Amino acid sequence: MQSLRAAPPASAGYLLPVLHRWLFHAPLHGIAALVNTESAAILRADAPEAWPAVLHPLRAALSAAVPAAPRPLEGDVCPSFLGIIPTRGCNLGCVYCNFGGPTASRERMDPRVAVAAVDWMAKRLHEAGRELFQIHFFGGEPFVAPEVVDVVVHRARYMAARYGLRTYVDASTNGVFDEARCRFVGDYFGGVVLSFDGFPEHHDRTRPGKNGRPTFEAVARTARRLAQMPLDLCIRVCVTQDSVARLEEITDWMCTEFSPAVVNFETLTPGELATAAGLRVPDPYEFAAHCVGAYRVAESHGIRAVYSAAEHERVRLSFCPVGTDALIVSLDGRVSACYLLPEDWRMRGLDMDLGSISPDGGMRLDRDAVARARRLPAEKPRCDGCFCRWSCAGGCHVNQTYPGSSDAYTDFCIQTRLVTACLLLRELGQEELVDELLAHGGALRALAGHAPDTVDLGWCTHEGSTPAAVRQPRGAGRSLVADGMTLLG
Amino acid sequence: MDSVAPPSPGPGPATSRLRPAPGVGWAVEMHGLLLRGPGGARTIHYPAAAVWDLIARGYSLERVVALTGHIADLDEEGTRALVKEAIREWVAAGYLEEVSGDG
Repeated sequence: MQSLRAAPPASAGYLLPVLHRWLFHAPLHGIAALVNTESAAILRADAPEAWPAVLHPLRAALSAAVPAAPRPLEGDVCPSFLGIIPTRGCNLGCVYCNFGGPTASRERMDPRVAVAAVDWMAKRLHEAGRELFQIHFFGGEPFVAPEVVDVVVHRARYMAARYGLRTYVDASTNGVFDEARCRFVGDYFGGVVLSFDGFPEHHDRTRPGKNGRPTFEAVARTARRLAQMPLDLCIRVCVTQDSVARLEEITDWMCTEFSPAVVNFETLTPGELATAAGLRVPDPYEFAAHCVGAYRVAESHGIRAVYSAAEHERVRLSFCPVGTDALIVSLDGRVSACYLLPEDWRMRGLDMDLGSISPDGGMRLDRDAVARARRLPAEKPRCDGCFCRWSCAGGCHVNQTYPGSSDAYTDFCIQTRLVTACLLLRELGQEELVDELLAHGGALRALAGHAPDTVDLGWCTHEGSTPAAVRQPRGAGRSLVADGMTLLG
Repeated sequence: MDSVAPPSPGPGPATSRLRPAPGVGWAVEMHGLLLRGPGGARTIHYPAAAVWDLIARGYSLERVVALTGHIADLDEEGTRALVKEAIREWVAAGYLEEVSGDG
């Protein structure tokens, strides 16, 4: 474990340049404001008693709120959800696959391992007084191991009935399965994350079947079926340099055609397969501009858009399940904090394994490993001065902010900072300013590269002493005090 | 561990000699199933609810028994007894019907 810099104070606020103004953000307070240069200087330097009247609403809002910074979990493990990897095998040949692609193991989980994991989890949740039993299937493609999925779903429901729990099941899937499986999903799943990369010229290039056959029609058919079912359909679009310029168009088509609950945009994760296929990660500035455009398009349909690193509505310590005590069970019975391949963690000097579960039901969790996984999200030197610290939370612990990674902003940081800032400005009603910003390359670069963003708000610390959940839900709605601020100067 | 096969085409993983009778419907509920048929409505709790689902989705009786064994955590004898009794009840009540091998 590396010795890393201390996290910023829980009461930190942030200021970042937006053309000739400054965006103030206090994520733990749930406050954003647009201020001019003079106000920004006051916020940075002056004691609150000296703030001019125009800043009093902001001072009052900061004083009234009680920030609670997310901290690493402590105590007994009580998983946020159970992840099951029924197989790493897949029926597609996605050219950017990060799970082994053509060399992925085609083995399936022993159903006894699955049952043991479900039983342990149900009992643990019951002991902890929890009511919700959440299961997420990862892959490979989970539905190429349909019997494992069937056993897990039914065993979980059986145990949930025994312990008085509610179940919520969802899966990440490629959507290439038949109508009967679709009906099963509709009957028993609360959500589906469907990978669907856009129009045929995008999707069939990035997500072909084995032997290169197109899958667009099959996935579109599944999307239409799932859209008719009582579940939350999230369509996940992997954005490449080839598709980024058409993101708004793709979003409009998806919203019109499938009416999903969520459209999710994520940029391509570079890898050997993707490089060999000639795929490129989108330019971060271009992605940010089109992502914001796609948000607008989705919202015009009444559909939620998500770029996961810019989910600023909630405060979190970790970008992903790591550190939340989620237990991801692999087909060989390993229990891990992360669903990526072990060789990917090891390449970064990480060990995400937490223990193991055997077919006879024995769960072994290593306390030190659990503690290590809990601490990992808190150790993000690159993020210390960034206003996205509590929303992006550093992104993937393996691919972005791994131990020893550079302190300099990456393309991922740049696009995340830009999208998050634009979303905050939109919440402040500053749509025109967003357009102006996105059209101004110099201003975008100034915002993207600004560091540190931090403003010390130590005077308004009311932090509680109880460790917070890693994903702390925000309390009351965001305080929007932009109008008063923009009047100054 | 088995090797992965592509998802099977058609209505289910295998043909079955049992199927829901015409006019029978069912709804998934929080902790089981609600069957509706000519004879009225009936709630099915677990593990029998899993047996119904597997039969209704076209699994062969052999696979129904194998999967139910895991779901109910029973040995083979106990599983066969559970499945047999559930089927007997549902056939008698008109919820399930037996069909010929080809159909």
